[in-house]
Amino acid sequence: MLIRAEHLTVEYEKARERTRLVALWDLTLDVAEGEFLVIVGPSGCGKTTFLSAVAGLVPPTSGAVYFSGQAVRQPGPDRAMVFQDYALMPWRTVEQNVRFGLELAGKRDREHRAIVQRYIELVGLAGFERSYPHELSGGMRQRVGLARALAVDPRVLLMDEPFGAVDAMTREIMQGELEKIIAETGKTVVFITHSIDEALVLADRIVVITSRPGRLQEIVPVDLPRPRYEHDIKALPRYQELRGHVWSLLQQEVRQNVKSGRE
Amino acid sequence: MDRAQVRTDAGPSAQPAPPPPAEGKIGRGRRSLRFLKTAPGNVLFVVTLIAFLAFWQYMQTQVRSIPPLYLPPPSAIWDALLENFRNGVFQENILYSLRNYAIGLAIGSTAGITIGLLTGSIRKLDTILSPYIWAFYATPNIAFQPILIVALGFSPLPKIIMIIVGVVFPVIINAMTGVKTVDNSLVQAAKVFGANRLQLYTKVALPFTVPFILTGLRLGATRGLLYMYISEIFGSTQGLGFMVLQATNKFQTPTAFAGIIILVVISVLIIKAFETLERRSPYSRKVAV
Ligand SMILES: Nc1ncnc2c1ncn2[C@@H]1O[C@H](COP(=O)(O)OP(=O)(O)O)[C@@H](O)[C@H]1O
Ligand SMILES: [Mg+2]
Repeated sequence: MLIRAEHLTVEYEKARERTRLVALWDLTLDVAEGEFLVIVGPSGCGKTTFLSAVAGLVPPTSGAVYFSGQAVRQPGPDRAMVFQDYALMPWRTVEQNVRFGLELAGKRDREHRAIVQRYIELVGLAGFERSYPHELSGGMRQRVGLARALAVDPRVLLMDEPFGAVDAMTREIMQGELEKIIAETGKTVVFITHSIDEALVLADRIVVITSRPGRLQEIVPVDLPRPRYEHDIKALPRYQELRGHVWSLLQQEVRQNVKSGRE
Repeated sequence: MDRAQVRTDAGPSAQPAPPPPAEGKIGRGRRSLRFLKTAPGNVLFVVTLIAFLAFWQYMQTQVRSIPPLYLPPPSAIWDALLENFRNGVFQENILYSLRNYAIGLAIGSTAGITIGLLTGSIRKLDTILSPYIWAFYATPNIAFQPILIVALGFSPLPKIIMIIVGVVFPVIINAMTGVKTVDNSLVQAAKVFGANRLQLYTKVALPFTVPFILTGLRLGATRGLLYMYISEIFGSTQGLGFMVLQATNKFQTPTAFAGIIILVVISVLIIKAFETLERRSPYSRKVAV
């Protein structure tokens, strides 16, 4: 197992109210090397918290996250993240943003150049090396975010609703490109989304998490043929079946939230 | 299945298309008005300026509604300007003023950036210093000038101190605000990619703060000019402010106006320079959201 979360519980201090908020509760989960794992769940259920714990940004309150057998304590170049709000440095060009991780690792400029160029081309941004983020569309910005993550050659890509702020058309195109890129690079991916369709198009397995405090509800293996961007998988009966299943799992959650007046 | 319960709120609607907006008539107007509308900005500026000066000249030489002693015609101001440059009086005083200003600006901005960055990043320092910084920022600190003159005499030193005081607080406030408002998602990203504490500062906090500092410098430079001028009016034997005051006392109003025009030109050049710096800086790229 590349990643193993063991009885992972994460609480946040709420300083003002002097209480603690349980964001994740006793989550045990494995991610295999080379797997594309997608996490879905109602908002506020702790999905981002889970990714942050794997990244080493948030310490577990109890339990642990193991990466390649080692307990995660801090961020490392083997785990790169792609953010929903892109989190690109607005004062850096595309090229300089993609170089960011390499620069922090202290690699020499000469070694950078080829790597940076390769990933800029891989995500289809050749010709935009000198552009600044504010000159790019949302989809293009997220390509920069993806290239920045890939450039450090991590073992896992942590993607937090990466296409959440991108328009529907671009989103579908980028899902296809992501599948292709992952097939080419063989990266392990942990991917968060709100969209059941996105989950089905990308995932090897879908993890459904319950609403606050986040607990594991069910793991749904997605046995749809790959590459999916070439197939019209949405027309397959199996696709509809899986979709209905995941949808009803989430539906239960949302219902409960409405009843208890949380949503 | 449950899916049937999903309702689409946007049902098929048969709304008629809104009528096309009525076409606005492009005003033909009179010839002169059309010129005002279409002429490029700088041409318009020069033309209106000349018109204004001509009007002023006419009023103060032919009509004389205001005594020319209080408001000399442009021609007299122009003569005074040339005369004072010819005999070197202007050069000497401008140089004196600008030298003080340059020293004050350099010290004030360096100190301002340093203090601002430190107070912005160190919580304890912020708690201790912030009240004083805001108090000084809000106060017209020119109030301290008489005391400085009593203590330090008519030397350039009290003037330089006043300029520093003018420059430093806007710079501190802005640098401080920049550091404090660093976009948290950028910090998270930097951490994920392995930034240590120093790198969080040099690769995120500092670049993020540069536009704030540039704004602070522009505001500080403006205030510095004001403080420079006022400190030369009260308690000085040299400088632009002194020269204008002296000319006024001797009823040489054309010379006083010429001095004021020089002050205007210097101020505009300095502010424009800082504005350009602010606009052109690659760090001023809009935060992309
Ligand atoms: N830094 C934090 N401090 C306090 N509470 C937080 C923090 N981050 C997230 N939370 C809370 O923890 C819960 C889970 O958040 P998050 O992991 O972001 O959920 P999701 O990504 O599934 O929407 C939410 O209720 C959120 O308000
Ligand atoms: Mg989230």
